[in-house]
Amino acid sequence: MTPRSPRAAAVAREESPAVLWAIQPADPSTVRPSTDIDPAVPLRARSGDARAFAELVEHFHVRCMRYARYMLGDEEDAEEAVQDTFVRVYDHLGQFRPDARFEPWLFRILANRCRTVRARRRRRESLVVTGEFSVVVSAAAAPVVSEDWKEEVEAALESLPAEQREAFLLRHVEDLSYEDMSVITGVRLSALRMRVKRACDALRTRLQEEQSRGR
Amino acid sequence: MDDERDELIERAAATLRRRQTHDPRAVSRILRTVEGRPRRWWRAVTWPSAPFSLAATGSLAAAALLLGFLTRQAADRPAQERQLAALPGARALSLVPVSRVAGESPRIPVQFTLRDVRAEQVALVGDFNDWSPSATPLERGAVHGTWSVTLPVTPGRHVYAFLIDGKTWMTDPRAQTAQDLDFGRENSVLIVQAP
Repeated sequence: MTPRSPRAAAVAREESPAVLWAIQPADPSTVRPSTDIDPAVPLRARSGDARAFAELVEHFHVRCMRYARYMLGDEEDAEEAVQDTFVRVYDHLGQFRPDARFEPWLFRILANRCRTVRARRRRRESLVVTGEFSVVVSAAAAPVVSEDWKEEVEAALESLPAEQREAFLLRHVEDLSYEDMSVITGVRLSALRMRVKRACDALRTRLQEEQSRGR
Repeated sequence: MDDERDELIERAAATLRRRQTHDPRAVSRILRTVEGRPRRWWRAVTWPSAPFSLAATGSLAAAALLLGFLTRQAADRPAQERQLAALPGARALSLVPVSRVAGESPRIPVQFTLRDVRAEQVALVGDFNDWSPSATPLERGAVHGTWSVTLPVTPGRHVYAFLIDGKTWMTDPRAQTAQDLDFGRENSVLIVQAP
């Protein structure tokens, strides 16, 4: 335990991503009305309103599934991660603070669930070394044969390292601010910007190559 | 980073965003799963290796003394009961703490203190007051910049923080903190021993 003055602690905490959602009001320019939810809904759910909780699930389920599918590349794994996420949200709604925003809180849990599912899958796959090897080789060596732009984009996304894929999805697909992303991932803003930049560079290179090759 | 949003990246992101499938059955499955689940608010926090703030340490010391006193009383009880049993007309009575009869845990007064010379208002928020920003305001002390409040708290592990001027979340600088991996925030930790 390091002694420090209360003001110094407060300043240090203001700089820490862990408290950003508590102390920083939502920036209107980064909150898309179409994706955010009425702040009263999570509070009603927190106080035990089952209908409000159902509203939360309805509102965020599509986005959560989309994120989990892209992160995990597997429908069943994605469903598992999303269901675990909402169960954890339900179990821990009592810890959701009234001054917090629900969206980054939810996505932080979801991102962690996806990491857990991915890690469990890696452990499972590592038990079958041959199977894993063949999958990796085919993914790395096989050219993208599809002419479909959507498939190209999804394949390019899948080729990114997980942390870059996560950063790209949160920023460009889920339209979250870097501050929210920092809360969600626990990673500093500068590192997140670097991850997004690298992800964009890699996607751009790959998609341009595909376009110049076949189109 | 907005400078990364060129036409190609924007087109790729728009393509990825289009993948939206509403699955009412999956939503129903989730709602059925949580139906009837008890709220387990304490499950998301990690157990600390050591506490505490000075105030918490003081209360722990007091609780430990009280525990020692009660333990000694309990150890002496058989001898006392033997002496009583030897008296004519005596019959053994088992002693039950009042709190157990009442069916609730005894609350231990804990003083929470903070020094912040710039604060206009300080509130204590924690699991013991449902994180309410208005339930437990701290009062100014005689010394400039000092704040304190004494609150009866049930034995067990509690997490708490101070809310400065209604907007700045601040952990107790003298207490052990625990960060919740899922929820990302830091809180201070207080452990109150049962007497």
